[in-house]
Amino acid sequence: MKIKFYKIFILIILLSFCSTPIIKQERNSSFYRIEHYKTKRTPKGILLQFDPISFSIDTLEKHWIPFWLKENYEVVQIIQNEKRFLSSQEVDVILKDIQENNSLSSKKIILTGISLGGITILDYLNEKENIEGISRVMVIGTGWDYAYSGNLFYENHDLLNKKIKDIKNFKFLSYKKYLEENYNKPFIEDFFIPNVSIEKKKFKYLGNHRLPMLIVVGKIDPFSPEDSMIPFIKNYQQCSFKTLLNRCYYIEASRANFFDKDYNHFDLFLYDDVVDDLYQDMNEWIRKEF
Amino acid sequence: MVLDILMGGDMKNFLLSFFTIILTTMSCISISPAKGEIHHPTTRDGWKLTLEHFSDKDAQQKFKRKYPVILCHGLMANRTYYTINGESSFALQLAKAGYDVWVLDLRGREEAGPPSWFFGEKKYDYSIDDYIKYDVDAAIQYVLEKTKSDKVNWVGHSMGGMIAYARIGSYQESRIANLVTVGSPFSFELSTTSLRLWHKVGSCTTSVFPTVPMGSLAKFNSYMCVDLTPKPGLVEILLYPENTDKEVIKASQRYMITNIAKPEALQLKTALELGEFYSIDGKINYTENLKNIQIPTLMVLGRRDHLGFGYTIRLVYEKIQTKDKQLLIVERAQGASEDYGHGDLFMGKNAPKDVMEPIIQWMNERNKL
Repeated sequence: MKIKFYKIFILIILLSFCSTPIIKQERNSSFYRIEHYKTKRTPKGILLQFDPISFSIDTLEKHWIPFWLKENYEVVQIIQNEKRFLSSQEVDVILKDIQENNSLSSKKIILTGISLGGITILDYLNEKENIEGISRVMVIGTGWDYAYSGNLFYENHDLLNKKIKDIKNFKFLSYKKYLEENYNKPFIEDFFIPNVSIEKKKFKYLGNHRLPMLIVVGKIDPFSPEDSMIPFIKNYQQCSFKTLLNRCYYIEASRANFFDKDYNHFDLFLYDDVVDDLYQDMNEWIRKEF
Repeated sequence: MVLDILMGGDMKNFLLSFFTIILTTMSCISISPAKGEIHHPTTRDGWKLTLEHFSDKDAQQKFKRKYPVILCHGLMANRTYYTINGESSFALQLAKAGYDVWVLDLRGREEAGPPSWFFGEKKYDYSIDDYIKYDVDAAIQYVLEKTKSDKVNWVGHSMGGMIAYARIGSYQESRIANLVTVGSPFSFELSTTSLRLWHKVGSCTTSVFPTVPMGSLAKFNSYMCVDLTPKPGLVEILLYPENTDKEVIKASQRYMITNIAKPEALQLKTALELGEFYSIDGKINYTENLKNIQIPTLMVLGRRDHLGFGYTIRLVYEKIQTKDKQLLIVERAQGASEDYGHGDLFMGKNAPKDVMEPIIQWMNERNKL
């Protein structure tokens, strides 16, 4: 009997070391709210995440946020009062706020774009001549330039600014059904498709920046397809496909790269084995010195 | 009795068991490709090609299409790609829509006399440049003579589209009225792990043999009940198996896959290394010359395609100068039954509706008399 209690005690001690408790602080500001997920130990860095717009933060609490906390990164989540893309001036306001309210060096801030909300970050890189106070940029499930025929947004203007459950597009209905069968239904129903521009992007300062950049794309993601990222990758400083393994790294989550599956938009956040299959690779890139 | 006389009992039993195992493991295929009328035009440099002709006289009378169509297969394939699904194959679908259809076998394919590995008159010594310079020219010339037309429609899958891009862009080819490319890459800057592995296998093989014997291996595999193909990710680069009938996959291994000539493999290797597609002597940058393309062009992309990637098709879309250009993405989100891969674009379970129908519709709009 004594031995059993002893074993349980050891198990409890071990579990307490393994699990990372989520400590969340909230703060309101003018046009946004901040949810700050903290670690107990001194963090290696901060992921400054912009609002995914398309879905709520709960979705990220399944795999994404616990993973980065476990790796000892704090997550600062910006949640906007309105579902829209932010201007570069607004991003500046947020950046200043975060830098002033954190004791960590700006060298440790990783600007992170999740889902279609990442467009805000990519536009910011294009609009700003000089960017200070961040160490690197990471986007996952983010598209950029949709000015070509064939893509979902170009061909279906009626999809924009709607929740999936409100879309009446006949062709899209079978896709909605497929998504509902494969993912959490309430999450899918609430998925919001923002007003993505199908205008040709004009290049301004993309070529100026030398910030290390990680781009993660799901192979069968119709919302943020690889084709929509090409103009960005082609024009970002030091980010041609030939230097991908260095400063600018591109991960296509696909079977052809020996991932478990060809990733859909939702797999990037909800696939059961996404941590081992994908996030570990991202973490390796973050640990790299440039 | 004869076996008993010729050899001892143990040996006879062994041989009988061996052949019984072989026969029981041999796989039968119930699918047979559609058959048309065979023609053999000859290129200016002396190679025989094959053109298989399909037409439906009633449909031709009814619809009166402006130009005939040439269908061209991709690398490592032959014309069976367009006929393998029998009645629902693309060649027959086009014929039913009133087109005069000519399905092309480029040089080195079996029907017109396969090359030999080491000896013989024709060997595996041809490059993609030869397809562009001689085979496309001979095929168009032959079809124009037979149909009394002045132009053709060209539909190319994978490399079959690439050689049309190169022919139009770099050789000022004016006899192609409308171009449809399906899963055709033309820029190779980003390579996947699978593609790099294939590339290594190809390099190793061609250092010993004059060919990458994919056709021979695929044919052998098609006779086996047990699938001997390596790691699934390596095969999925060629097609999405979930979207293709198993019988069609077996049939394609037996009838469709062909060997790759060493210079072809080398040319693609260079393209992967340089990111752009050059002639084998390095003098012509085919990718750069895409800007010379001025004819109506439809580019079809399977969302899951691991060879004709979305990024590369988008780059072609940006580079060609014609105003009448359209990109069609075959994906679930836009009503297709599946996110299509590379080979299943024409061989997929629902390809007639998801892929062929929109292509034929696009062609119909540009083939009115």
